[in-house]
Amino acid sequence: MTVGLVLVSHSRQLADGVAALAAQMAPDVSIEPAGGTDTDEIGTSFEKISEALNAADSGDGVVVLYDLGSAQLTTETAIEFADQEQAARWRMVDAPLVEGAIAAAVAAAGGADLDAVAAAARTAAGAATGGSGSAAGNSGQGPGPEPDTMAEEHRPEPPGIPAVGQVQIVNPLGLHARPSAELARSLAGTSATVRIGRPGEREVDLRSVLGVVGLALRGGDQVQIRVWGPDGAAVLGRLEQAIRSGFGEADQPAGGVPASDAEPRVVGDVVHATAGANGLALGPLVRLGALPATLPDGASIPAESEQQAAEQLDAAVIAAAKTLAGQGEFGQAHAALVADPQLRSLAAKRLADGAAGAWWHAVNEQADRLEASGDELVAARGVDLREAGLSVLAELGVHLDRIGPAVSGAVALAPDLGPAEVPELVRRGAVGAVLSGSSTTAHAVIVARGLGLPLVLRTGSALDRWPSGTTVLVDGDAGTVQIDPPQAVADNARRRIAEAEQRAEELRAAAAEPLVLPDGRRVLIAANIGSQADAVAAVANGAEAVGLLRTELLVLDRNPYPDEDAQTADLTAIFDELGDRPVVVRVLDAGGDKPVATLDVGPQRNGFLGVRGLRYLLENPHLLRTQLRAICRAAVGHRISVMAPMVTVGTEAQAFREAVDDAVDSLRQDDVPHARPEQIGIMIEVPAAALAAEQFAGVVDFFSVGSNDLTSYLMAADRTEPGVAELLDPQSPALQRILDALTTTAAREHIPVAVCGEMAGMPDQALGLVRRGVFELSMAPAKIPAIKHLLRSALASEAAGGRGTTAVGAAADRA
Amino acid sequence: MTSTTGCTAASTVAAVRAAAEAITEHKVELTTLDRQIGDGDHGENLARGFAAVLSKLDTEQPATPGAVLKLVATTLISTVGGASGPLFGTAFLRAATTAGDEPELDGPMVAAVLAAARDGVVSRGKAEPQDKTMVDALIPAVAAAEKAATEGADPAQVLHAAAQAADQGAADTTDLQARKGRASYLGERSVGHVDPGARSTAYLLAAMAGAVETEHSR
Ligand SMILES: Nc1ncnc2c1ncn2[C@@H]1O[C@H](COP(=O)(O)OP(=O)(O)OP(=O)(O)O)[C@@H](O)[C@H]1O
Ligand SMILES: [Mg+2]
Repeated sequence: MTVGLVLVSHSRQLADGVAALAAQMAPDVSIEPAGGTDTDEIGTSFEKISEALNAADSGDGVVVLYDLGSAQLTTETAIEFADQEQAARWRMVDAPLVEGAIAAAVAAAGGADLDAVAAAARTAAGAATGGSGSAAGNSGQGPGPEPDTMAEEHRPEPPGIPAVGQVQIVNPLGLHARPSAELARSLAGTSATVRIGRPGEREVDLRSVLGVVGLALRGGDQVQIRVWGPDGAAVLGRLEQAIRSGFGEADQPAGGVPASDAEPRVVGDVVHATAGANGLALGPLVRLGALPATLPDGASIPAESEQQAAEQLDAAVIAAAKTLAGQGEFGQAHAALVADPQLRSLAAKRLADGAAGAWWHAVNEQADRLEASGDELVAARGVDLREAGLSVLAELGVHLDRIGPAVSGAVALAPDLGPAEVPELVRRGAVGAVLSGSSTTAHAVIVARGLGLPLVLRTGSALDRWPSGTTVLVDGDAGTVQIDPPQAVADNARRRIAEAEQRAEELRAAAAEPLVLPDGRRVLIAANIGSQADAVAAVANGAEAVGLLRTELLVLDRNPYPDEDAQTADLTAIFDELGDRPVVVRVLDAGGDKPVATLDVGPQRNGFLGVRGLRYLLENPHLLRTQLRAICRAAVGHRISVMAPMVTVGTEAQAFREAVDDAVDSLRQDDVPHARPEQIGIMIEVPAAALAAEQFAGVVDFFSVGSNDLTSYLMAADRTEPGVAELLDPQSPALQRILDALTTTAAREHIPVAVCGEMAGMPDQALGLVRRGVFELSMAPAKIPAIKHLLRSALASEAAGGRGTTAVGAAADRA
Repeated sequence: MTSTTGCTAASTVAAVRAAAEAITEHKVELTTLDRQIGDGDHGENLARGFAAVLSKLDTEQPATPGAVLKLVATTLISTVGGASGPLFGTAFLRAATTAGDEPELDGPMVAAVLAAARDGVVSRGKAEPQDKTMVDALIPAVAAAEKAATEGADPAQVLHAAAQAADQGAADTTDLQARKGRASYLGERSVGHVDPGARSTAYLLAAMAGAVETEHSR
């Protein structure tokens, strides 16, 4: 069984001729020509192409090469009309017809699989100079010949005799980015020069991750390693062992992908992935991530000297690598990418443009080369490199906008989103979002829920082959994306979207009414917000209060760090939107998964279990003081309370209270208008605080349960790590029990309890929280109307004698 | 005197027949245009396709406008032989999907059908506005159709508005440089000629508008 080949040409003779030529070299491969129109005139034939595809496919797939214009369009149409299960193994490859056909035929004859045959054809495209004859108008600089920085063999060899070893690669994916980075990292601390390559072929410096990735070394390949230096033999031994170990991925199936890139299920035209944020969205797909190849004018500030630019760049690379290195295994691979010496030397040529300009140019040049590679794994690293490169740019104060105006009315598709990008998407009119990666607890996903932006995540590569502009139906409840939905489905979706809009409108109108329990107790339904846009959304959705004003977004990407006046201005703008609604401002929660560009919150020390939240602020009292002063200044004329994140023991809460007193005193002494916070509270996120809540009696005025972090700390499961996501279950008995303990103690000590985590906005959890005596549920603004409606009907039916829990279930079905 | 203003299966068949006639009538002109900036087959390609459509219509009687459009789509896709085959084919196919099972299309529906056709061409050929293709006729045509429809126009009026705008759009391709299709190989030399696909688009719309109008004033 082999991969088949279809050759589509305008000319019958041409297709037949190329097929004969290729068949000479690969007699056993099924090569089907499809040239000319039905009557053998110049043109292309839908029928001929369809027949050729079916004839060439023995079950192992088909690679299709074509000449120009309608050959491509008609083939695409034929593939679209075919049985989709079968068509999934048909690949169109844009390559020169003759060279591509021969390369593909030879690869197929050698038993290569579909991907490898396609790659062989595509590589032939690189081998032929002068472009591929596609009419796509490959404007400007193509990938060009082999880049000089990759051609290590032209460099003089170091002096001395190297230690030489050969080893076979055992993991099927071979030296892709992560293992390459691991090898490069293992050289830290040695001055040895190491080169690697196939025996007798081109070698690259092992410290250059990109160079190694570019060799496309795969499982089964022999590699030769040469090490120069005093400890050469020892280094060689270590490297050989590392390669033989298979980098922990030895038992993955060949052609497979790393586990965390696991493909979603694709059934017909529906991609089943992971639900992110509720709601339906219908619109054309718009890909984000087409970053500009050059920085906008003025973004890169030329330094006084190249020397200075070099220093700025080095500092930024180090800082970015440090941040990335703390973001899991793939972060570490990204860190190695930005620290790659090849990039640095490419950038060195352009330092006169300023550090940012030089860097971005180098990143793009290198990424273009990777993407032009015939090897799909190598090509995929281009995206990584650009993404990783952005973090260095951010260190240099340049933030690229990849959203653009086209998202209006559209569904945005990106590998991942930053938390600050989500509100921007909404502001520019995006109706939904699809992420190929990310996790359900990622900050961006939480923000999307808050803003009511339907979102599906972890679609993997399932949408890669669909062009931008393809209409998709995103179902954020089911976690599905339907491609080009049939008219009936689309109409139905439109109707449901319109209905949901209208229902939301009605609920919003009803939401303004307060929620009163049968016993007369009032429960505040409040909003979690982080920006002025959120504040507007909170008011529009009928929030009676703000239970959590996060301040991280106000400082996150700001450079320099905002001073007291700037913070006062930002807060005033938000408070003004909220009028006389009570607002709880949470002081900066730096650390954990919330890096702040201008603060030194290294992910190692300031991770989830490190110096995070209030711990960080107590170590940096000037930051806390500045922020508290700003809050008090902005508070004039409003009802403002403050609370501290990540509090573990009573003494911390006491210190926070004193810091508030100090800030108020200093404002009084400076004779600056201000208002003392109405109340001082703390977040309950740490199990220790929840279980020994009595220690805060007399110190704080209220508790606010941060259920996301509380769950995470309780279950010892990082909420940014998708692999442990299922442990973060709000239903878990441990969490329910800790909430019982907390609310019981709090009731005894007369400390009111609010909940401001995701749980507050979960239909199946909210009633349970209210029953526990919680006085305030604070949630994403978009959730308020539905939750209020739900609680109201559940409470009413309970009062009428029905059973509460089932009423909530029924109401949830209705909502 | 208008008995009915909705576009029925019968009036759609009449429109398609008129479109086929228009293509025959302008075949030489279209081929000449294509010779100037392409491979000189556009008129022949379309004539072959629409001839096949006519012979199918002699034997089959689709019951709804959508079914008529679908028959045109599949026939063009398998018989045209040039880029305009899959392009117009996809246009008619998307149009058919949008028309659904409706027995009769009103003005707004006709505009929606045209918009779907435009989207089909764009998604198949990936041409941008100003690439000097049929897209440059379709975009203004759909805009005009939608405007007319919101102002209460009936199907014939919607199609007339579309045809008129397409005509202007086609004329405006003269100054453009081709960036898609065969003509893109000519680079700057493609400037100064009307794009054949844009021209044929305008003819098709004009013919259909006329036929629907006649059909409805009967
Ligand atoms: N990618 C495209 N997108 C939109 N329209 C296109 C595209 N390519 C070509 N066209 C249109 O098709 C017209 C040419 O149609 P024709 O039937 O002559 O195809 P062709 O170019 O001869 O096809 P072939 O690719 O087989 O040579 C052009 O005038 C242009 O309007
Ligand atoms: Mg032509």
